[in-house]
Amino acid sequence: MISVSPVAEANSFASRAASDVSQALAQDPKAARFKKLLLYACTGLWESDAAQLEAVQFCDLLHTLRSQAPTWREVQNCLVETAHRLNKSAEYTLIAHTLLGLLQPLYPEAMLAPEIDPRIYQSIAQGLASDPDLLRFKKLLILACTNQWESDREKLEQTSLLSLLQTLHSLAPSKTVLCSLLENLVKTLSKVAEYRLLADRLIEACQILYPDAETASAEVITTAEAAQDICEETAAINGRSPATKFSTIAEATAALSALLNEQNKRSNGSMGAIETQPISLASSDLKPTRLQPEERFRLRQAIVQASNPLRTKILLFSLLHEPFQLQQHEAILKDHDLDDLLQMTLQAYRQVTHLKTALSRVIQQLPYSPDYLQSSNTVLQAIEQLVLDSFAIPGHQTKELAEVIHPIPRSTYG
Amino acid sequence: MDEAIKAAELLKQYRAGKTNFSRVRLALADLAEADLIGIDFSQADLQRTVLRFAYLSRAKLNKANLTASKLSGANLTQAELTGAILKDADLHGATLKGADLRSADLSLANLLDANLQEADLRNAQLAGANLTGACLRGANLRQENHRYTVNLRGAILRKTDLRGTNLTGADLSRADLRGADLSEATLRGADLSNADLSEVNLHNASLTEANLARSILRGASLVNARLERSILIEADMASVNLQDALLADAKLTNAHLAKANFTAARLPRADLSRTNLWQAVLHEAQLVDAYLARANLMQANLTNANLTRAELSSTNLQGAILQGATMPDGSTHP
Repeated sequence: MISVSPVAEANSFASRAASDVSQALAQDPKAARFKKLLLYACTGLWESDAAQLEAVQFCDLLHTLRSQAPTWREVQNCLVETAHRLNKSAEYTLIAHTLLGLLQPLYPEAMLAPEIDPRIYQSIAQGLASDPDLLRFKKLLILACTNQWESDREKLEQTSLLSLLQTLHSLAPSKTVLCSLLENLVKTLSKVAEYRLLADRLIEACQILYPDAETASAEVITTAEAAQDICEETAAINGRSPATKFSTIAEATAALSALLNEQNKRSNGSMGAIETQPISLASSDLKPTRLQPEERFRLRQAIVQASNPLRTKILLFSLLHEPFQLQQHEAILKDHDLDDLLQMTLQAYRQVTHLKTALSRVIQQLPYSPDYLQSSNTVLQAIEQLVLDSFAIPGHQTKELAEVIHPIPRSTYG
Repeated sequence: MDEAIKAAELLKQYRAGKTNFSRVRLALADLAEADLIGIDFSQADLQRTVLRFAYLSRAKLNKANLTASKLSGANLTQAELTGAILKDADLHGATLKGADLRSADLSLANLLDANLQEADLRNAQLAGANLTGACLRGANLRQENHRYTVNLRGAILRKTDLRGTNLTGADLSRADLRGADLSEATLRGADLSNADLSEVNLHNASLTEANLARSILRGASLVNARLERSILIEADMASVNLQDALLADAKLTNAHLAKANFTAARLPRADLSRTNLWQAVLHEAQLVDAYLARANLMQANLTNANLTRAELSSTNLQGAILQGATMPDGSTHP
């Protein structure tokens, strides 16, 4: 009787699996696209010449892929992120998804991946089902899952929210990927601002599907404070400053806009040219600021007491997105309350001086009204007062608030 | 005699010093950002009029018809709006500080992020109105003569600032109050049945005789709140915080109270029959003469609780902690 060592047996199994997967990939109608994506993921080269592609073998690509991304999570991130770098990112995200399905036999742990309790999807679906924007959410979800724009009301109503959410989750294994996927799709739509805000809300609703991956904790983080702690803890373990973590596209957009403004100011101090070179968000030390509910009420009250609430909302909306235009943005502004806008502002601007500069710039982009100046001054004063009040209460000094008036030097800006 | 007038003509006359435009017909006119401070529009027909960002401080708009008018961002500080019809009006981000809105009809109006501080809203109709993010601090919404009550039935009051507000007898049934701040508010006799009060702050609030049947109070904070004789039948109160609250004679039959915090709460004669108190914290709770028949107290913490003369027939006490508790017969649990 011939004995086979466990290692040899495992290698033999892996080899057979690779061969089967290669065959399955080659026979798939999407074979050419699979190959393009794999080649790009493995080599960084985009090849569209049919003859050149023909010369490349799937088994070689899979071998390289497995050495570059040895775990299931790594291969998921690798392929989805590669797809996002392409012009047709939405289309290739779906290709990546199909490809991952076929690659599963190569990654035994893929089969062991913890399954999400179906009740979680149900609870998200329930929340969205009662939302007035349900049909628009469905449009966005269908677009994300099938790359089709569905506007037939009847079909939208018939489509199951639950299965859409499950598909979306499988397409976006991490929150970063979800944000990126939705942002790529939103950019292709005519009503960008409107759907960006919807995408934000969708990401917020799906938050529960993405407990912080880096913590390797199975627990779902339910409070903002806990999430914050874990973020900081993870960063400390990695021995670097806390990386930027954005829970919504709006946060990321706001942070990016703030960063661009600051860079612009540093480069030439002029208003006009915003640099178009890619900005690495990870290099920024911006991070979300979380206020206690009572602080949020206090801040809001101070602002509505001394300024026109709608002018203030328009000002903050313009700061975070684009200059407000009545026809285009009135309905969108009604979907976002002042509290949300203030939170996003605090997440994007950690220092009063930067916020002040950015607000002055935005005022000049809006039709003249002395009310905007009043709103700007009120917002700045209210934030400063909030910081001072938090210092006055012993043991109640919000770290992020402290940073607002005691700026932390940013390594990126020397 | 009602008089029709064009917007331009009105502005011309106003600038010339005329302020009395009562009973005019100005429907569909565009008066956006117009300075109309102190104008008298009493009983005027202003339906669908555009008054966006208009300056209407101290304006008289009593019994004016402002149905579906655009008043977003308008300044209506101390304006008189008694009996005005503001149905379906857009008051998004409007300033109504100190405005007199008694008996005004604001049903289905959009008051998102509006400033209603110190406004008088007695007997106002706000059914189905959107008051998300609105500030109502110091507003008067109390019942008049046990008869005229503010109607907030089905209104959206998410994140609304209602701190210290007097809502005695108000009809808030089916209202959406998620995340609202009602600390120190008076809700005596208010109808909050089927309302969603998830994560609401009701710290120190007075809810005596309030009807909270089938309401949702998940994660709400009712620390030190007064709930005597309140009705909480079938309310969903999982993880609610009722520390130091007073619930004498309250009716909680069939309420879902899993993981609720009743530390040092006073519940004499409260009807807790058929409630789910799984893993609830009843540490030092006063349950004298409480009715706990068929209640589920599995794994509840009743350390040092007082259960004197409490009815515990068919109560599930499996895994409950009773250390130091005074039992129905007066004995102390070891």
